[in-house]
Amino acid sequence: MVDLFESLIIIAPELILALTAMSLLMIGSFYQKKSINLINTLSFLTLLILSFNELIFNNIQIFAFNGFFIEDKLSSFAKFIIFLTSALSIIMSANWLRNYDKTAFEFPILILFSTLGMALMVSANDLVSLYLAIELQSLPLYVLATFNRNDSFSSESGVKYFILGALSSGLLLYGSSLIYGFTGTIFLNEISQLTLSSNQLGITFGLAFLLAGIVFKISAVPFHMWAPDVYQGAATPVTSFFASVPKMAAIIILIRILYVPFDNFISSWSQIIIFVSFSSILLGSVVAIWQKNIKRLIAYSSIAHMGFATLALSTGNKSDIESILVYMIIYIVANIGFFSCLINIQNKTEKNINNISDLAGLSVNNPSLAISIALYMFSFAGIPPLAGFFAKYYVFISLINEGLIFLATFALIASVIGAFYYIRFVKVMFFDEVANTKKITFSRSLGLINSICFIFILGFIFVQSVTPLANMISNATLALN
Amino acid sequence: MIDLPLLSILTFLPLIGLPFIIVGKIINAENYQNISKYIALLVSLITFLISLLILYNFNINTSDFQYNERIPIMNGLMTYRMGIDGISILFILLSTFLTPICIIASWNIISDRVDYYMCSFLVLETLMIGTFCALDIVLFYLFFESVLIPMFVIIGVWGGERRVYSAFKFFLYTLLGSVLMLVAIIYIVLASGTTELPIIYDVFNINHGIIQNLLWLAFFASFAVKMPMWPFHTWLPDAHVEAPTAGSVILAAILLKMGGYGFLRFSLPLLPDSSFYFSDFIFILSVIAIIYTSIVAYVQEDIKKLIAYSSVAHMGFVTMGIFTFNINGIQGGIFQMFSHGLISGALFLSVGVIYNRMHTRKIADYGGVVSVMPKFALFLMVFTLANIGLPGTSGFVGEFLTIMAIFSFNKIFAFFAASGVILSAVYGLWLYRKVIFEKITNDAVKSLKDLTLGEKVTLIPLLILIILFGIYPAPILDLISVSSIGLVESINLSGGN
Repeated sequence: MVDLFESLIIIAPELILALTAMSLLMIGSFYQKKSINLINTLSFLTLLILSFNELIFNNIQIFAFNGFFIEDKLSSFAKFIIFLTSALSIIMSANWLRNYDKTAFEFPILILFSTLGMALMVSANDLVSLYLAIELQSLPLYVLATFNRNDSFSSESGVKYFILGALSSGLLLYGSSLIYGFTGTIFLNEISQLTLSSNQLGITFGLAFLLAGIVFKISAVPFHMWAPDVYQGAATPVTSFFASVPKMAAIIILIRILYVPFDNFISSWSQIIIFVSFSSILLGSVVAIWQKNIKRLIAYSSIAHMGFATLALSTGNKSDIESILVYMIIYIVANIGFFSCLINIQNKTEKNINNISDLAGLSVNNPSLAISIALYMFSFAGIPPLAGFFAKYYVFISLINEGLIFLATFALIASVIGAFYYIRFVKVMFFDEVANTKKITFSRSLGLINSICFIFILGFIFVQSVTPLANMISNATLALN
Repeated sequence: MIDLPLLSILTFLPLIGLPFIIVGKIINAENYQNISKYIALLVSLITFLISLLILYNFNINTSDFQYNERIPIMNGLMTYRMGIDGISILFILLSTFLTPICIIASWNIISDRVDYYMCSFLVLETLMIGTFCALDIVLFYLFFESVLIPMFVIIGVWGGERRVYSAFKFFLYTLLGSVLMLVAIIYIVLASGTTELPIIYDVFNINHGIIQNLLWLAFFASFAVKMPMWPFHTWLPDAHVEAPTAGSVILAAILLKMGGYGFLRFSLPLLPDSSFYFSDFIFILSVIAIIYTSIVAYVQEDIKKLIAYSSVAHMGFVTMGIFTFNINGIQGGIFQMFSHGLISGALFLSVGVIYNRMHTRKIADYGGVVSVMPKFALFLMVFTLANIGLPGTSGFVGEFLTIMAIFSFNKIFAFFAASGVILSAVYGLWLYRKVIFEKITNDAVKSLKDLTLGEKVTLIPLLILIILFGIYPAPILDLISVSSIGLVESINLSGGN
């Protein structure tokens, strides 16, 4: 165990983040309008620096505050992704924010607080800190969902999200208390030693509730109902944030919960995970076919993607965490890329771009936008040689390696159903004939983000072969062994 | 000489055209559409020359893979391994030969978004060549499956009225077949611990049983859809009818051959027992394809649809030939694929010629074309006769070899297969009579002009090759024979036979 001072050093990135967020809040409330650019820039820079900090300084495994906080390769890697993606979300929303409301300085600060919650979440090592971290990341998210306050959809989505989120937190807390009751400890690594000697039924019961709370956060079936409404109602930059960062944090904590305390319960939870992942894939793929609204469709698509990511958990083999991490990274990059295009279109056109049909004829005057979106869609659909294919490929290697061949086959067939609605984007943009569309230029920041994502998705073979990404992922995977 | 990675150069050379087309578009906004055509043509011609260079240095006396390249990539997940043998070089030549022809054939016809069109064709060429060069099972899948993207775009953007429906059907149908193959590929990769095909050939060995049969069926799902075999052929008539002329040519000439190539490369050597076990099943499907689709072709009102169904029938000969496990049959099947590539390409180009003048594909709208387009009538006659399989054309050689092989395998199947030759004469000659002869009923036909220079440039090389290889098929057979014999010898059946 380390003493308080050392603990503070270990937790320094989170402390810096919290202090930055609070001081920016002060600056914002005193200087109002004038400060918005400063707040945006500072919060972006803080997150960027912190993400590279995680990249450079990462520990094998170290506990802080008497085991309340854990820092290992997995959490460092997750924080790297979370900080970086949050930083990108802040730039992506900057233009929209300036047009929407110049006084709304709290937007980047809410993202900072939520990111802080996620960082604590992936490092949580006991049930109480886990619950507190989840609440810290959720509360700003509820506010962000309603941020577009002139829009009744947005308010509705926020309220829905809040009520359902509160319910899920309740489930999570109930599950935690059951587990504490039956094992007598809240520390994740101690639970794993006590599970076998405790009441099996009670722990399974608690585990089911705990899983329900976390599955809600990744919006997988059967706790997916909030996602379409919230995605649709929230402003597009907020949707982009929802679709990427919290998913990563929730998946990491799901991995940690399943493999650290409940390592001995694989046979119990793998059935739950198989059900959750397969029904998410099926529902996400099938229901999306009828969606006309872009963001609703992306919501169902993200449900399906979470299904694929959790599919690799169902094997119960720790080395398959690698597949999940690869899947999540590719999913996040494609998501960010797609939303950078969508936000750019929405910023530059007066008319509302809500439905897929509003993108009609995009390829005529805006080839770069149309080709980018088409690429992300083909990647979502899992067509080689794009990154999305490799994401699925890794997952299916894990599945088939464990002998789950039929599950893999059915999931792949469901992914063909999913391909139908992804290629509908391509159809609308390229095949439909529509009168002149306005020429839209990329704003500098969104253009840069889009080109990075584009190159990553198109050249994933090179990214994986040349960059240290693959090594980082395998190091993160080994953290739980 | 050999030190250059010629196969990689060949494969990725077409992509070099893309930046030039994009730069052309940026700096010369006025005339970039024309420039993109010239760039695409130039690049595809250079690619063709390089493929000839590869052919020139190709050693036909060995069945080993040549021009090997090997780089481990993706952190050990797969290997960039390229190499060709006598079978793949034939299809590479076919691809590099037909792409410039397709670009010339689209020269004045495509007016909408020419730069996108040329880019799609160049990407398509890269992926086609890559499919035939890849010696890594995952790399093969990457190329094989990526072909969907440019083809989907080509059908969807430049196709006919029902292009969206056809493009979706093509995409989803083929994708569904391929994902099943992906499961089988992953299984094989995990079982043999490597992704390199030559090593898998040595290492991978499972006893004949339910697993081998399931793996075989998974590969079959993909290749049978691609081929296409009856009853998985329904996407083909739609895709052919709606695709632009050049798209139909590539589809019929190259993409369908990927199915046959897949059977030769994967099903036969990797899963020999199941291939043998299912050979009767393949024969039955092929016989149905030959007879049923020939009859269906006869009642078509649409010229392109008729040719599409005739393609399905001709592919029936290929699958029968391949699954005889006999050197004649396999050689015949490969030759038939090659010659069908030339003939169906030529037929679709011919249909394109009259379609561009009349903008209708209905057989009933034509009639009496010979009196206004005598040269065209001559070309179409040769192509139709070649499609029927008349001796002296390349169509005859492949069908003769396969029927001979089937005869030694099973006489009843041979009888039915041979009847397909007659049926193809029935619909082929019927189409020719309806379009070329008879009285002119449609006034629009009277004002038709005969072939232009560009059209001749596309049709004459095909005509020459079809007749040349019909009279003297030895160059092709020499090219493929050693590799085919190697393939037949490598098939070790554990039981039976």
